[in-house]
Amino acid sequence: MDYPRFVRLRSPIWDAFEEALATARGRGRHLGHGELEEMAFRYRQVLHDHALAASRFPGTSAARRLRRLALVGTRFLMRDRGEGRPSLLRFFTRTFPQVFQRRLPMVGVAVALFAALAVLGLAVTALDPALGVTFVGQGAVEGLERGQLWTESLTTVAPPAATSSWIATNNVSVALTAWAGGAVAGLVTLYVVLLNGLMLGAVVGLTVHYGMAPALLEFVAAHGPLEITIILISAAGGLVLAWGLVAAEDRPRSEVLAEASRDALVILGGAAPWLVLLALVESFISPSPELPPAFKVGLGVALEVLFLTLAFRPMAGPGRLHG
Amino acid sequence: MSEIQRPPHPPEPGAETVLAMDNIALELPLAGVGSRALAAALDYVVLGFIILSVVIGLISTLAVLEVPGPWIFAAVILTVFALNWGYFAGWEMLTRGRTLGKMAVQLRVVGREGGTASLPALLVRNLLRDVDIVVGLPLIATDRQCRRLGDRVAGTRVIHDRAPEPDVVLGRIPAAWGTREVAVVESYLRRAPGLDPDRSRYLAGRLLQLLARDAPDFAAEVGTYNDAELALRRALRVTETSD
Repeated sequence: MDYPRFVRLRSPIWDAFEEALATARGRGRHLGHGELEEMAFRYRQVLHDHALAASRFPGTSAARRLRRLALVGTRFLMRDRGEGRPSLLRFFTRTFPQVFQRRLPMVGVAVALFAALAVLGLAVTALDPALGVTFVGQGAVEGLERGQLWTESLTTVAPPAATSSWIATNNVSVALTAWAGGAVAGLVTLYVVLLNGLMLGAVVGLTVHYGMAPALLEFVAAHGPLEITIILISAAGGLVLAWGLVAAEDRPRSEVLAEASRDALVILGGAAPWLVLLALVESFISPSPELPPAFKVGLGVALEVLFLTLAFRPMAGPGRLHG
Repeated sequence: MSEIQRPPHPPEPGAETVLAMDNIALELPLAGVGSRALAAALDYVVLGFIILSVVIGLISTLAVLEVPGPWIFAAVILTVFALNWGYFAGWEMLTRGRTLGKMAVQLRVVGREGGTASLPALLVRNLLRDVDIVVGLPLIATDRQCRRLGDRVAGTRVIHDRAPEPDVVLGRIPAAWGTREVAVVESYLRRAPGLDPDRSRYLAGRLLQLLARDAPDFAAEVGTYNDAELALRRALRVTETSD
């Protein structure tokens, strides 16, 4: 048992480290490079002595003292490495693009379904405008016949013919419904995507039929493109979740599901805030008669390009490797 | 590197083992519900006085300036929020993890690995403080790492950070003694000043008997004694660190 010897030989180091800590704390963080090097070296010695004392001499005064010194030294010399450090900038420029690119196939599925139903809606309305009326609702069509364009949302969670007016709901609830719909195996997500595709096609078909297409285009030019993009990406988040729920994989379901829900949350978090910006554009810029259509189109394109540039930002990190 | 080397003795209750430099295990002495609630209560008493005086001053100033009621209401809400957040986050950022209450109870906020918590982490953990007024206590009580919601989100821990106390170290020990004996004698000598004198004398006498059995030469050096504690100190060449 060489406890006294251990203390006799090593305690000068501990004393020196303790003293260095005290002076360093007195002077704030203005330590010279040399002092800091020496302190780091002593810290390492103290840490090793702490490990030794904790295993060989547990409960003794030296072990207690070393434990305290190791803790204080760690706190003084180490700064939290910041993993999981919340950084908004990092989230939008790194985390979201990474997850978005990893889950691109699901975005593709959402876009394809949406586009297919939009074409269907357009075709049906072009062939038989009366059928389009059942989608869009009588009120809106009467308005169109009078040459008035509703200046409300393009998207919906319920067929407007079923509700009393076209103002079924706003974009945020559409995006949230599409996303959260993933939790019921994606059925609600699919419903929202398909319904909105069909409605868009029908609306475009009807406005063309009534000669209102330019007015519609002017109204939606500024916010429409990104709005539809965001809603489809939120829906893709829902599909990611749904895929984790229903699809078999090699890994345990709980693991797959945990990853899917994390990714789905990141996708929603990265997409939804844009809706706030779009709401402002939609309320102040889109309906404004003073602003030239070219400006609105330019703004719409610029917003879309800005978002896509961010989302498709080349990632050197592990995001792509996961495939 | 398949298995993490743990210290051979089990970690103390309420301690979390993290790996410091060179994978050396370090136990964070986590603070539980009691001490943290006490610290928070002290802080809220101080903060209550601050908020009360500032808000009264604000309202009377705005009332004199004839600001409309709703604006005064908005200003009060903003001020209360700013004071509430600023008090805790400000203290913790300036003192590397302590508020007045935490100083009084000797607690400190650290990062998840025992390092100084980063500034964003301190801002975030205090942003969630109002939520934690409701859910914080049960969360701390049920979490192994004693984290409230703000700690979970920011990745912080609250640990005991006691001021160093005078310590005693044995200068020599009988060959037959192991760590247990050393720990017992040191623990007695550390606590002797606060013990009941009779009790202290009795314990010192027992320890001296043990010493006389294991190392008669040590005991012989001291010879007869009046003060058992002092005799024990002399026999074992006890040094006192006053750090």
